Amino acid sequence: MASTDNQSLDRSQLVKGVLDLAVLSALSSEDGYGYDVVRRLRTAGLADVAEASVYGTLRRLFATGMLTSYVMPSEEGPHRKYYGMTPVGRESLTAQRDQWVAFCAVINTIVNTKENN
Amino acid sequence: MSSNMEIAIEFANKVRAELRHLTSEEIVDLTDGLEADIASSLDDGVDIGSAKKYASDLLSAAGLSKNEEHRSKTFDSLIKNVVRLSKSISDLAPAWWVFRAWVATQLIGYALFREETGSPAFYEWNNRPFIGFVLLVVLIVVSVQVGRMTVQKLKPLILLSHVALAIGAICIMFWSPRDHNWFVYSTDGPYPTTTTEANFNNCPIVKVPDVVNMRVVDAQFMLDKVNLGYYFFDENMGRRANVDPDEIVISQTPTHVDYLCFGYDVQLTVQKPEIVATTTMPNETTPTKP
Repeated sequence: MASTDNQSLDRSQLVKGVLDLAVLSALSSEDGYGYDVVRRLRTAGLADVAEASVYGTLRRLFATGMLTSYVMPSEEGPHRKYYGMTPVGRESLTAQRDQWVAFCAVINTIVNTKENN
Repeated sequence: MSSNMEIAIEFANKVRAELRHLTSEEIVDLTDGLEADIASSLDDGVDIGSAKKYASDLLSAAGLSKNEEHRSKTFDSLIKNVVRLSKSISDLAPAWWVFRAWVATQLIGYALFREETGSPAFYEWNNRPFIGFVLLVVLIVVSVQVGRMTVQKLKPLILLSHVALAIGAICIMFWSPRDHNWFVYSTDGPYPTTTTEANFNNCPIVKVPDVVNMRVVDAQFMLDKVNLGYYFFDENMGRRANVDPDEIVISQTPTHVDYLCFGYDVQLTVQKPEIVATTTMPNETTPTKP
């Protein structure tokens, strides 16, 4: 889980700020159900992402029209709810990705400048 | 069903319990498919934590936590009162079932017989008490059966049917099932005076002005003003096409206490003005003094 001491970054806060971007990116190539998205994020390196946060984010993105959703019956038990990207979601992903790259560039510049000093 | 699935179902129900302040729609929207996701998580050996924390994360990420914080006590109290009231109303369901059957009976009677009564209120089946009673009993049986069969899934359908019933009632109020042959509406009684000349629905009516003892030209002006037509008869009830504007109207049908459909004709009986006697002959001149 996130560290809260003053000596390291609060990863949970960092993740919270970019969770929309991360979830949209995870769904950009293939539809997936809630836990499937969690797995993709964890496999990519976000090991401490909270499942419920991902599920809540999926619902919110769906409510804003960035994701579509459908239900697939399961032989083992309750159905699974799958999510996929909408054109609106793809546009948003592109915009957010550009913002993120620009933001990282700025932070990198600042961090490297301080290191040089 | 695997043990993880059972745990997942139980956990999901606990999460839903933590979300009970939301509407049922919001809860379903937020937790649909949650059991399968939690079961997969358990299969992977992940610690899912407490249901309270899980629900809190879910709310926060879904952007609903602020709504919860800002929901005022007054609003909560209002919701509780509405729920309490709806429970009280549901206790009165049998009375409602009978009442709606009675309303339906009245509406049917009104739709079928309102012209016979001329009444704007519900027809009371007074002239056909047996048929009305039988229909009421049949509708009560149907209403009670429908009410008793009501299950959760059918509630939206029942609600829809009530809306349809209300709309139907409004439509019936404005719908005339048969053509009217009313012509003159008399204020002397509740019955319409009929004529074969008119056959129309719900005509707008105007009060007939009193034009008796007026000159024809004045009577025409008065009737034109309220958009009524006119035609003329002489004293011997002979219909006349041309009338001298100075002739006098000696009677009218309908009279000024009646109402007539917009655009229809008033029958005017006219006669030539009486010749006023004079003491002076036309060629007579006043004698002058020598």
